[in-house]
Amino acid sequence: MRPVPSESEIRQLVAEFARVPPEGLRADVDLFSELGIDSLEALKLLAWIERKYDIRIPDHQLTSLNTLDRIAAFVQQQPGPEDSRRGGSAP
Amino acid sequence: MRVGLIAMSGVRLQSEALRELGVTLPGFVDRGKVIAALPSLGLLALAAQTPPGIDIDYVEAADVCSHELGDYDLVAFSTFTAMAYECYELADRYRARGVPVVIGGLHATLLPEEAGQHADAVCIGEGEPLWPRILEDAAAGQLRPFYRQDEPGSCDLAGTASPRFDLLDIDRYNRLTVQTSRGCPRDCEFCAASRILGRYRVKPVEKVMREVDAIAALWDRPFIELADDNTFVDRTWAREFLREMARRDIRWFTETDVSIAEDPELLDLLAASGCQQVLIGFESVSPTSLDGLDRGNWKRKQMDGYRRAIDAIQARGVSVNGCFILGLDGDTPDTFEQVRDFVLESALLESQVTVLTPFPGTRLYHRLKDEGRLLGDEFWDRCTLFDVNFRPKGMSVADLEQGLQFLFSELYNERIQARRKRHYMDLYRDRLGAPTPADVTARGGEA
Repeated sequence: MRPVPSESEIRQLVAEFARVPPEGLRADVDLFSELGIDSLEALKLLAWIERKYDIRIPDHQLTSLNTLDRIAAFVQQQPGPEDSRRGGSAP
Repeated sequence: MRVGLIAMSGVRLQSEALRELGVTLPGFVDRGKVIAALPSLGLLALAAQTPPGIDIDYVEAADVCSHELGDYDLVAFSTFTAMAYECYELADRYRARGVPVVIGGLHATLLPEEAGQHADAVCIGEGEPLWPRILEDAAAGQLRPFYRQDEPGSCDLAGTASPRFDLLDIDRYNRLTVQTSRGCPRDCEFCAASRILGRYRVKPVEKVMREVDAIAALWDRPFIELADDNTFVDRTWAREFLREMARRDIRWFTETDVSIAEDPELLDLLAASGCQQVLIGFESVSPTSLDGLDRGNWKRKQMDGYRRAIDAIQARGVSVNGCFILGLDGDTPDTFEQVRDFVLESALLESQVTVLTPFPGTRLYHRLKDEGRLLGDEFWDRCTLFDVNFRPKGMSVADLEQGLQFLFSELYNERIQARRKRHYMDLYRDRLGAPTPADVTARGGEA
């Protein structure tokens, strides 16, 4: 099985967008209502994540990926680029 | 002396059908919340022109209505047209208690005699140069009925004091406003603001940045909305301003015209400056409807480039909120589907559809009055941008009302919102480029 990105790596990326220290970012905090990431920044964050991990987030999940633990869980469940090419997630 | 500055903030809507429909639509609710939570910059500017020794309170009218009127020696209101009647009612309550009232703002400037029936003094024109004199006269118990600026638009923006943002309870607001310019050279027939306050002027960048920095000092995660009609008309000023904003970690929003899309360097600076969204008045996607909208037919000439412009701006991560006016003389019942199709195909991240509104004092108001098309002489509480106050040329009033409801349902529902978000993300992602080998390795794949 291929290695998946660690939570700490995803934490670093999310913290950068939220402009908070990574160590101070609670995994279950609502990034948008509590940390003040606005809706546009949220889309940019998700686009960054898609690009970084070469994945695609389904449209219906764009608003539900609102905490670090949900984002991390989603990314970690995705097949890698090679898996995608074999018919995994949509490009 | 204790002075209450009372802000008539918020969004108003008279149509029951739209009100019921609107609250269920996320796209409409989101923008409504933002507008409703903007403070009155005009009153904060007056506070800054107030001499030391005079106590100032900044109060939202909703708080006054639901609580106490407050113990003031003078109260000042600034109101837009849609809130004018509410303002007058509240002003009458203060005057009944013996508290002198001053009313200013765009509506009072256009209709000073009307405002004067509910005020001891009316401030006509830009408030900054008039306010110190009003305070002096109020302290002496000698308020005059009207204070009129000698020459409209003569206030030197370089010389005004920075607005008193420190008076605000910051936690109540999700954006604070900074004004960088007044007026707009486009001179659209419907516009109430761009000509009334005089010629187009910009505030020196250094002064703008002092105001931006004052907000940043009060607020950890500032989001600034520029209170301008058209921000980037002066491109030399715009470049200097954007370079200064890029040095700060601030997110912001403004209104502009579509011409910025022809200037790639400006767009790059815009993206690097922290700008999150620009609002652009496209007004229509029909050449017939745009014809004659502004004196030089400038918007008509831009129309063919609308989609390219939207893509050029959004590809840089700056989203576009496109505005469309319904009920223009060239509009027909087919217009609503045309606007919907354009919005969906262009994948604007956000859009705003409103009805043509004849605000008092505008060229539009006088023309429609001359043509006998106004639905009454006074309908200020219906000047909401969503309520119909005139007979359209190419359809009935009912057609226009139903067309607006149709567009609300078509553009602001969750499915369409998600689709527009996806398109914006794809544009932004394309701009970022393909994942680097390091990105893929980080995920555990092969470089």
